[in-house]
Amino acid sequence: MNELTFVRKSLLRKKLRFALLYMVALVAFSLFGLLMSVQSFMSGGSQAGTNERLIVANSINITRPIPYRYVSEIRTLPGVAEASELSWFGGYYREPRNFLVSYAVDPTRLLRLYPELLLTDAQKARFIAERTGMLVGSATAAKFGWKEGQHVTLSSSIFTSTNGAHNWDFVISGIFANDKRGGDEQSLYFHYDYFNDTRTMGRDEIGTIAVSLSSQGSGDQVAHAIDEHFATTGDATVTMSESQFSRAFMAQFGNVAVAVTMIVGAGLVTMLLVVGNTLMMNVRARTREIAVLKALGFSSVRIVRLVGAEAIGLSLSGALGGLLLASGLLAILRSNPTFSSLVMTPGVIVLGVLTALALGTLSAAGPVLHALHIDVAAGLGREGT
Amino acid sequence: MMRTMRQIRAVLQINMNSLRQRLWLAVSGSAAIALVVFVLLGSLALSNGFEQSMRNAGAADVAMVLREGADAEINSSLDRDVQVGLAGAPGVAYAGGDALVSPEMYAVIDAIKNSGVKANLALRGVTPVAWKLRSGIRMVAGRMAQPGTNEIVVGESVAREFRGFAVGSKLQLHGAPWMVVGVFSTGGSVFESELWADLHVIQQLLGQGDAVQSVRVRLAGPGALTQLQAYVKGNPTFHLGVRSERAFYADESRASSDLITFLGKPLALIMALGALAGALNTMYGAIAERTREMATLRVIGYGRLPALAGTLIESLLLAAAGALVGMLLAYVVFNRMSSSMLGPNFSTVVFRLALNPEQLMQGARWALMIGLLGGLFPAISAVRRPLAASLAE
Repeated sequence: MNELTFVRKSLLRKKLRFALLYMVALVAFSLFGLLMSVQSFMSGGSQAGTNERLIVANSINITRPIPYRYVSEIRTLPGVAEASELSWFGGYYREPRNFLVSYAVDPTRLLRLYPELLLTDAQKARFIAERTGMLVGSATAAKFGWKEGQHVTLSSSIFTSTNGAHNWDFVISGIFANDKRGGDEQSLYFHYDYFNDTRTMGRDEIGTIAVSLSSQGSGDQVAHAIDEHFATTGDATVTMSESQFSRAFMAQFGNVAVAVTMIVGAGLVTMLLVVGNTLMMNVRARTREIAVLKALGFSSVRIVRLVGAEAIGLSLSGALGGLLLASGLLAILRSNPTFSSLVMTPGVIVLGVLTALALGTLSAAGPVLHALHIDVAAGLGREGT
Repeated sequence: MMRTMRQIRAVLQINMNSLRQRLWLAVSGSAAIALVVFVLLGSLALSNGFEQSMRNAGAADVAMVLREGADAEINSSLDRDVQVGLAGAPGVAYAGGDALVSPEMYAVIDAIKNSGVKANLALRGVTPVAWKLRSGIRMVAGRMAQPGTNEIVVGESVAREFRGFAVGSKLQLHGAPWMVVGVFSTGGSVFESELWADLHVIQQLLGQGDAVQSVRVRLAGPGALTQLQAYVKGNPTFHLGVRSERAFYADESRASSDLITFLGKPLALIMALGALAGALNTMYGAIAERTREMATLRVIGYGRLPALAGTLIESLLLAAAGALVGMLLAYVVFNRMSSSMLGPNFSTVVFRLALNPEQLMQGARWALMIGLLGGLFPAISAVRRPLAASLAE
């Protein structure tokens, strides 16, 4: 019997106890995986946007409009490759709770700005040609069971149409997936011209502008140039990279870091207490058995290894299971548009495994020390239970 | 009956005396339960505090008029004709010959919180009537703003949680200089998270013409709301939605507090599963250690029930200890704690977390449930063990 088999057998000797300990570790690490991912998402750690593109908004606040002519002015500025309006529509489907991430855009320029949207040439051509055409992210299309070529009516919580209602009719020109992992597959894009001509208020005013750069790494420079250009006009702008933009947005939801640290810390401490104490009880119950090993000539190093491996093995396997469970839960959360780019980063996984090693070592400390101090003669004399 | 009671007490005494030997295992089980209660109460306090701050804002005798279909002030826009039409509408209350009708502009601006984070802040353009439509509103520092000037008053929460809004502070808004002249309180409602300035000055500054976002109307009495709604419906050019202010804020708070519960409850539930495993582990460990003692008691004539009850009560006591610690901790940490959240108007709402007795009881119920389940299965498995096998251990 090799050491690994020995460790496994002693862990599984009391199956129920093992299952309960594993459950505690599983819960602690699924909370860890879940909440650390949420936190890194909130602090913009995961790729919510790329650094190459910029977002231009009104400097007073993102909810204030900027004039449509800013788009063409920005396109003439040096360092700018392409720009398109990305105007917030405040859309929903049938009920306000089916809220949609929806923008009025310039179709041709949008496709140039967002090459990561996966569409066939035929779909692209249709989207550009159809005045009421709309591109829909695959996640949203799946949620409502929409098919290509289907006509859908969307409502706006902000705008009124010239038909007197809050509805606009669209036809789905294409459904896109995203080339990037965790990239946007929720959004809807449609023609700004169609929208602008048929709305009753805010004509020729837009929400934000997306800008791509002609050379990489010039983001700060170009952002500064854009803001400088509009500084003296009535509507000054503030320009940020896409990731800065989403980070600034998320930061408003409050200080998540404190809550996350508190809950994750609580879960891990509980696990340490429960696992450490139970393993201690296990080792005490096995005093005679360990004394036998010692009598057979097992070195102290080997005893440490045998007892310690139980704690570390339990903690590591709990961590792996917990992180796996958490990534499953994250997949469920991603069905909500707000969390569409919520993924478990490699950093979270590495941190999880390291934490498991540390906790395993800590919870092994007591049992190992006890095992080392067992006196062979006294231990052999004790009854085993 | 008396004998059973006596036996239960004896068993319980044995259990409690042996507790010292596995003290840390018991403590870890209780601690796990305490943490579940803590997290559960934290999320309840958050959603409750937010709801309270929204509910405090809504008066039953004030009607809230928005563009038809708009679910928030920020999404609404009302032109001059509508404002004039509402001033003469039936159901409107009068004071000193003036209609109590308050056209209000609502915009969101960027501001910096004390923590250094940029956050959306609500800016409300008001006329003096606005002050008459909020009960309990009063200045707590400085003075009211002069109508028609670039003077601004701020809610208590804004002064407390944001940088640069103390009385006497100067700020730039859309290129124009402004001065903070006062701080007002409304007794803990969402209005305290707003900046108030002169309606016409703000309209001009933001280039909004004479459009406003909402019109609030003091209702003349019972039935006035229905009257006003009928009047609005009868005018096809209006396209308005009329609700009581109370109903409006109740609707607004629902979505956000639902979201908190949607996120908080599953989290507490996951933790509860972990705590249940911890409690089961504690109790299985406990009965494993005294299998022989219990068997001995059975041999000398104790019934199964006392053994079962003894284990169950022990588990419940440990859970109750955990619940107590969790509730105390949650109350000390969360109650009255100041927090802020992005509200339905896309602006920051500052509010205080609040725990009420009903929620504390909910925490206790969760803990006792864990204790009950955590003790029940070990207790049953203990009494079902054959006596001979137990004694041989």
